Amino acid sequence: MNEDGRQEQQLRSSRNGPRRQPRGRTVLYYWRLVRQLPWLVLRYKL
Amino acid sequence: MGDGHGWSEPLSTHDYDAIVIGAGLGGLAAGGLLAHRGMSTAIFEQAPRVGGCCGSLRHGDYQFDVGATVVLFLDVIERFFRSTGREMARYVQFLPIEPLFEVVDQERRRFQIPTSPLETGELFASFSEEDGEGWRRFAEAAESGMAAAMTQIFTRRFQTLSDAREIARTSPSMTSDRSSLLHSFEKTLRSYFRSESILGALSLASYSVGLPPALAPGYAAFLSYAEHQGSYYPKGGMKALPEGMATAFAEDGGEIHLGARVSGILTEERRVVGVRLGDGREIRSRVVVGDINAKAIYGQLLPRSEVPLWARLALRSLRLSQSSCMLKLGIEGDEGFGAHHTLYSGGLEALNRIWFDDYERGRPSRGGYLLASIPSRTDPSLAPPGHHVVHLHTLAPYQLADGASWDDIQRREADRMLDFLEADFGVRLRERIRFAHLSTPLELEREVGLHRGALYGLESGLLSTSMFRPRMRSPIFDGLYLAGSSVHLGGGIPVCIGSGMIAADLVCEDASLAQSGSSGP
Repeated sequence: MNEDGRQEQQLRSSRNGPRRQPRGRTVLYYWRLVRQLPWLVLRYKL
Repeated sequence: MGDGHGWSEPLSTHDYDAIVIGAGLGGLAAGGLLAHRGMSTAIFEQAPRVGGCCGSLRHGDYQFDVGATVVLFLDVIERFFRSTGREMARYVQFLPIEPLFEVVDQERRRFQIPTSPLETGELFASFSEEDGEGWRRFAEAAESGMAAAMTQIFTRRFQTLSDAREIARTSPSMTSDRSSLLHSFEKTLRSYFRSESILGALSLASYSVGLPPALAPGYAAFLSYAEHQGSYYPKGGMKALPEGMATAFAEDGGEIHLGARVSGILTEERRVVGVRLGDGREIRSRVVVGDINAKAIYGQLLPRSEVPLWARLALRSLRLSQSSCMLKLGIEGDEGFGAHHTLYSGGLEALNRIWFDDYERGRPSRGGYLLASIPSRTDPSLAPPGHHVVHLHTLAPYQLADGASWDDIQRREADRMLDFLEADFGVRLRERIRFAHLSTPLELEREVGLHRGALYGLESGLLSTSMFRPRMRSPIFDGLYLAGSSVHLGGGIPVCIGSGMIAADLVCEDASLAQSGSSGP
């Protein structure tokens, strides 16, 4: 097998991640946005 | 606001029409346009050099980058120089970077990401058909966003809802992936790719908005496509860009005062009338443009009693972007890296982990991600023949836990970064190091003037971007304008230059209205 073929085989063995962001982090993302909502008017004014 | 009083008074009451605080790219852009348009303009910069984060430092025979290591979106820079009646090539030249970067993953697999989107697709397809198809969809969604950014967002004001409506009405769709407007960066990226190695390579872009992949907004995921528009390095080092802008500024009569710290902004009845320097001198002007962090402008330079409580609360609610440290090495011999930028990445998960487990807890990074920048690969003039300059870059909190000080742990952290590179990726540099210095967040604040070492000003989350960032025309102080990374659009070379161009337009708009006898917006 040539160098390119070896590299391609190596890349194909790359580990796959989950298809979705873990639920806990999704919740954290939106919670962080919600916590900022009370400040939006002041930020817009500034 | 904007009653234009500053422009109705004779010049004899002022030293300059405009004073710019800070000679970063935003300040140089604002100052450059104001001087070109006939305003007497002075820039006061506390450091002994121009450029702020975009600059160079020489240590012996080696020339290092101060912070920024790459230039994207040359069109914006060309547009700036054209706005001053000049050709960019006469003031700064750029060398293309190819490949964009090399990635070394946790299993020590190496692959290089080319500039060509087509070739990148072929590379990703060698990981899996799914990843190859994912790149095709990703590129399609990103292309429309890049077009919108280039033509609309970088140099157009985006401060109010009416600005937003105007941009939406006149610009191409920001992206065909509308779900990215609501989802996180991580969720968006995972909807396109499976390989953790690819995800890790593309996730670095989240830190350019000051957040990890789990917390950055989804549309920021398409920033990783920006480099495929072309990635460049200024010939002669990063300093060549701000020095070129400074040259143009001086040709138009502008003055740059280096080593001149501004300690306060002078006001009279909520109107700025000049600045006070660190040596006590007061310099009067019609307007002041601040190219430093808005938190420093409103929190340190202006009288506290004159900044209303609502504004102080708004500023407090905005978080700074991440800070980082950079290990600067002059090495002899082949540097052993694969490209101008080499990313050592434990995947998207590692980029999240070092944020939540290390950075937010006030700890220096314990590994998982390191970005190596070797500009001498592109511009050999930066180091002696047979030598290279290497920058190793990772996240680092400004405030360390347990009362520790960066000055005390500098050497230890430099060793830790070298240990990580050696143990996890098999890169041995110690025997070839001829110069070493760890630039910390504290040092960035002291020597470059970056507020708490925040590389990109304020974090650019969904609710802290554009019209939710401090306005470029201050709503509190007449004659005060803001530019740089803490206003629209955020951090990064082309956006900072764009912010300066917008600020200059606002100054001139108000000046024209005042001189025509109108009361201003």
